[in-house]
Amino acid sequence: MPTKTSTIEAKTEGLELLQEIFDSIPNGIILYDSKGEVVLLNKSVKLIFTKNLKPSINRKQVFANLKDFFKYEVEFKYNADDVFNKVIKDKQEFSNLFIISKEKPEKVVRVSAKPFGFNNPKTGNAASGALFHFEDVTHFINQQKKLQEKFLRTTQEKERWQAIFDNVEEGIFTTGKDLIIQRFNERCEQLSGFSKAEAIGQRYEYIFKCHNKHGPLTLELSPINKVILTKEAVPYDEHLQSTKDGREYWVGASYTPVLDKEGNVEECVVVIRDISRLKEIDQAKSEFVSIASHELRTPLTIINGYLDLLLTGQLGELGDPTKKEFHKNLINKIYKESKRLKSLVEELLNVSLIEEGKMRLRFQKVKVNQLVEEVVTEMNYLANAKNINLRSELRDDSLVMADPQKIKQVLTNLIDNSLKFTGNGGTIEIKGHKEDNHYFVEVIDSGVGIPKRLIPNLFEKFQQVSGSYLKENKGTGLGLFIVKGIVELHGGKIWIDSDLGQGTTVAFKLPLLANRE
Amino acid sequence: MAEDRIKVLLIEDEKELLELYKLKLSLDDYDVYTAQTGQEGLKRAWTDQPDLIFLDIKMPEMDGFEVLKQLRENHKTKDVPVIILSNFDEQEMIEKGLSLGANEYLVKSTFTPDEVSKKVDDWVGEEED
Repeated sequence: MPTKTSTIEAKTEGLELLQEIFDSIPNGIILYDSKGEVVLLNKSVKLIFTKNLKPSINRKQVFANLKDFFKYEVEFKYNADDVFNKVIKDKQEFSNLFIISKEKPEKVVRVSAKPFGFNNPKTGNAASGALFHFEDVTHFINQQKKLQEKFLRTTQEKERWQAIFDNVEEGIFTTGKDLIIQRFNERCEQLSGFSKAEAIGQRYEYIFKCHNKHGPLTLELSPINKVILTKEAVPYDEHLQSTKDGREYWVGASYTPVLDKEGNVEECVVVIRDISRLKEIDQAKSEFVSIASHELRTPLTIINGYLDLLLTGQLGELGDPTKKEFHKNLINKIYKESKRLKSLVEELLNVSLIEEGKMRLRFQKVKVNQLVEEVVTEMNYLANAKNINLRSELRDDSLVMADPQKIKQVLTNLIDNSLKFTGNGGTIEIKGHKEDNHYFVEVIDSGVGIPKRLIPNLFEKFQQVSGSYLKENKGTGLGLFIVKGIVELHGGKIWIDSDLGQGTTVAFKLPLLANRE
Repeated sequence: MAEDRIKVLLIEDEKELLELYKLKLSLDDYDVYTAQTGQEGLKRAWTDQPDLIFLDIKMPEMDGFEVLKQLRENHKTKDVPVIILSNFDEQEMIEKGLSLGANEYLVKSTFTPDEVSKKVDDWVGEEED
């Protein structure tokens, strides 16, 4: 009984062994003679070409089959005959011809061919032929395609992320746990003054020089170091930073560690924002509160001071007839200060309403010149007290849509200012005329005038002629801010023309009511 | 007789406040001098040599901090007790005032005239011990 071993032994000799090996080769192999007749062919040829192939077939049939099963790839410039002839006659070798099946599922076969000499089994003579290898590379090609697609997708994703990274408003950068900068977006370039090339690979503290109000933030004190050491994020920190050329600006930053599988810090991601503008607004608000508080406390101190003295009997018994005039005088002072406090509160409320855009205007059709005349009449008394000539010269029709009370407030304020800055015997003239679909009003005084350099800021809060709140003596500096607010809420504009010693003209214009009648 | 009374200088631009404190301090038998500007205040301080100075901060042309600086730079007034009487209550203001050499910083609206007057006693009394 032949054992397995003996079966192998039996095949040790001769063609049987070779045939088995030949058939086990995954490539399809065909040996053709010079006429195109198949000399040898292995089983894999059948596996690759799906239809049945008889052993004794010639090249044309195989290629005929090939033509049936496969369409030619674009690179396959030659047809089957050309290839065969080039191999037989020109002894040319081919190694990377790809053919694709016509039928689905798509099959890709790599064809190589070379000239081959052998002993013709029929004649026993030496013969020349062509040896063809067919390798099914479908899987390989598919893998390649998938990888290519994946690579393309990955590249696109990467480009998209890069675009996002470079276009966000925030500066984003990352460092390794060694605090060397790894990534650095465009906004970081703008904020720090360093280019990506300069920053990447550089130490963090070289690019970002930070300080807070106590002094420079050394590396030990900086939030990023804390993150590296504690592995915890610092959600928000405000500090000053210097740019490459030494300019300082306020920054709001958040720091987040990225941990590896073992829980160690791999890198730190930092997002920074320029908060200079926010700081300015913050500061302006604080200043406003500070100044407003100060202004409110002054009349309050006087009111409470006198009341305290009167009520504690330090100024004599209340009701004591010998003190009557004295007490009455003090009570008048208290009253005056109370009125001052009231008008201050009104001003502050007006400022608040204007800022919040909540000032309510009661629009009606009004003639501006009429309002001017009313105000001039009301203020003549004050003007006469200083021997100032207050008069109006108004031309043209002046119908506008306006809140009459508010416009009168504007006029009163402007004339008040003029009275303040015009000496005895001076003049204040209110002129009005129509031009360019607006009604123009000018308040012109012969007073001391305002230095040109101070004019741009006069309409801001707490701005007064001396340019410094600490040094000003009267009023709050809010009047012009409110006046401007009111004029602009009416759709108008206001401006000042003046110079030291040249008097002052404050002018504003209001849009005229479109004439439809 | 006037020489026995304690001399107090009030430097304050707000007229009604000046009147108020002057009234109270006079009632308490102090010799009161007044100035409505920083410049005037310095002049009075160096000529009249008060025993104590009440100093406002918000004043035209020269503010209280500048006045204080000059008071301390001058040998005549480098040691005189100076109490800042201001209606600013911000920490920065208080720190600045004290660091420039003020002995105390009072926010006006939180003190009655009586309490302000008692401060004279606190500061001038010590020197005479």
